[in-house]
Amino acid sequence: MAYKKIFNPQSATSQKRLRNIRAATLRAEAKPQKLAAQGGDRRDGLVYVYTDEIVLAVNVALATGRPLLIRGPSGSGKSSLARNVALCLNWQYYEEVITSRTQARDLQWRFDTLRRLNDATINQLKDPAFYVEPGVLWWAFDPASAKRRGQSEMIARERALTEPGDGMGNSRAGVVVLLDEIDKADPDVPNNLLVALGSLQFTIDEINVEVKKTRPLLVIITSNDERMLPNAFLRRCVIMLLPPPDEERLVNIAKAHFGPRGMRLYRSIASRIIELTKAAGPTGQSTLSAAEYLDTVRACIELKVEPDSDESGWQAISTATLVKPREPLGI
Amino acid sequence: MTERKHDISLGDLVRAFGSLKPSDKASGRAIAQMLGFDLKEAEAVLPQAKDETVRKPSPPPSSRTREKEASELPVIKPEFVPVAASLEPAKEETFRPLVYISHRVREALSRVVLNAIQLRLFEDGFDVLLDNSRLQAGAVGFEQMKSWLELCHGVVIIFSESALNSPQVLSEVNDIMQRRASDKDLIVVPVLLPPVTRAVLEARGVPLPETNLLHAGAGETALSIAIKVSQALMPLLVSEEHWKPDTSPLPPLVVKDSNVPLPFEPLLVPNWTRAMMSAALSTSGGEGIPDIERIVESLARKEHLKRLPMRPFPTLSQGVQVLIDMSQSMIPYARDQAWLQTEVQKVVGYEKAQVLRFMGTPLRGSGVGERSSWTAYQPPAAGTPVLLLSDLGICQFTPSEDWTSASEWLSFAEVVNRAGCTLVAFVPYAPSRWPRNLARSMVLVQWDRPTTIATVRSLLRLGRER
Repeated sequence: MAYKKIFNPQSATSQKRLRNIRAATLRAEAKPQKLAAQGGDRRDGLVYVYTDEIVLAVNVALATGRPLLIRGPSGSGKSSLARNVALCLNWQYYEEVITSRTQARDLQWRFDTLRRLNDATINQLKDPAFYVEPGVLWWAFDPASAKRRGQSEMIARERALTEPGDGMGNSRAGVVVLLDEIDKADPDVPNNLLVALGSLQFTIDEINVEVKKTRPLLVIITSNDERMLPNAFLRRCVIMLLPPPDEERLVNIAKAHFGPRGMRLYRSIASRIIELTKAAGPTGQSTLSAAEYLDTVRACIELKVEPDSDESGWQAISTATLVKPREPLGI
Repeated sequence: MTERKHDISLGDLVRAFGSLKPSDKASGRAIAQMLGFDLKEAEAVLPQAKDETVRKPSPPPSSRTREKEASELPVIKPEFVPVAASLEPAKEETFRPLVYISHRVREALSRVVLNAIQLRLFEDGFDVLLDNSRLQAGAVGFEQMKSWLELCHGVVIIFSESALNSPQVLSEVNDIMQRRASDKDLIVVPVLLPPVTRAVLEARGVPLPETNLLHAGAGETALSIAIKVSQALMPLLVSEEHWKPDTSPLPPLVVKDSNVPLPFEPLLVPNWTRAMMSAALSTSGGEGIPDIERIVESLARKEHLKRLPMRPFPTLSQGVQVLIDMSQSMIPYARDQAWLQTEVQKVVGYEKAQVLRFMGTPLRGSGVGERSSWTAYQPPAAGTPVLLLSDLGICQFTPSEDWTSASEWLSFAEVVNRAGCTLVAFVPYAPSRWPRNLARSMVLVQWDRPTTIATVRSLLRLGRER
């Protein structure tokens, strides 16, 4: 596709920046291990394989100022995309993993009622702003205001406010905010975020301070589609659906993570995963996620198992990483 | 503008195009689709994307064609939405008049003639409305027939011997002639098959048009009859301009056996269902805002607050157990059950909604899949709401395998309540028909349009107070 990209992960600048960060990360670690040996869910965003559609979605969201809602099954790379976008753009990065207890207001601010009540009982009541805790959206919209808790001067406190994020990126350039797994929250939460995400401003009720966006912002929201989001919320987002990866994409992802030398292994595992998924059928549990595929590749590399020549080893690994029993064992 | 799946404004579209500057149609289309617009809508607002393969040679200067107009479209400002056509020339729709065939064919000859007419009309550019179910048994619904008769441009009436004995065909003939009286453009072609003659019809008092009467004589073949019928209807094709409606024509109809089903209307108001389920299935969990009343009370007693009392807020995090009654009396509500199950799963989450099926009452066994695999009913974890979709045995007429009594339902409610769960039953009958005494053990909600979100909330509140 031919258009002027605001975000281009293939640009020389982005590639150079990612290489530098990877090198710095390696040096920072005491053990001389490769990045690929890091297990678990990779959220550092250092490696991401883009498709044209993903790049377009990010560009459209940046161009329109709308949140980017990424839908897809678990393990499809929704969350790691946000981090990688921030790294490529050299923007700051904040994230908030949403749980069933998360309320919309928590993402904007929290008010420490208990501390205020305790201070009142010992006659040490302070300004209401003292008890305001900025949420991730406040930090994203206006970090300077968040640091001052919305006041004109800094308010002294036993604990100083620390800005979220890992300190990387240029604060003035912009910020990427990840609201992860919004479908976990109660159905009212997305609706209660409409004003903040739509108009990019909100008012702190307790201190009557308005917070507005002061720098370029990209809000990325992820959903596993476990719960249907309200239409009013969906209508205000740029929506991208991450489909399950095909064999080619899986191989490219493995190549990006582990290097080009294991192509035969990557293809072998990818084709077996595709077979397992087809065998599971539409009603069976799908095993086709990039995360599980990478776990399998990593296990085969570390344990030196070749699927084509070591069937028993492959069976053991695939049972653990792919074909996971989902029903109770009845013990 | 067609309805977009997203409510993103034209301003967003203009902003996107302005920032990203797509240089070919594919990129423009991709950007527009990402925002929920189709390309025609985008082209109506924005300058045409450059694409050498789409551009056509300049038309002769004497004619002002659409291509010329399209290439001169100015750059549109965001606030101006012109009433502009697509930049591509509109495709000419092929007009196919609708012809309804009224028939009742039991005889072999009649069937052959009917088939020949149907095929010939289709080949000659007509679309045929035909109730195939009459060839076996049963008939298209009355309303369906009425709408066909109102839509068609021409009518063929096959007067076979069996048609004369069909009250439906004769009723249709009356309707057709009534419409003919007010709509002179309707072409009616009666086809008389032996032994039916004009005299026979007149003796029966069957109204006939004065023209286009086709009498199948000796030596006639089904094909020749079909050709004559088609020729009689030819003026419909010629007078295309007269028939061209202001809006786009109906899509071509596919002749098939099944009737077009009516759209499904859920028992509950669809737009309210999500909120109703949230209200019905929420449990008090987590901590919301400080409970000021309790705080003041504690402070007034000079009690030291070790923990700030908070008001609980409703949450769906406990999930739900959905029990679907598969008894015979619930067969008419099968689609409603499936629909509501889907809505509940959307609200609560697929992983958190346990769906079980049963017959009679759940105490007789419940499960997923085949009945033979069902096991003894197990209530969910304490605090999890149980949603029952059942008529509670209200509409059982005769004793059957799944016959239930109110006392059995009471026993079931006790099992659920003892497990620490709230039982909410959506019942597709009016409260006057609900079994007595059940309301004390479960929250009963009328599963019908009058039920509102406020109704559900107040019923739940009453249920908790009991």
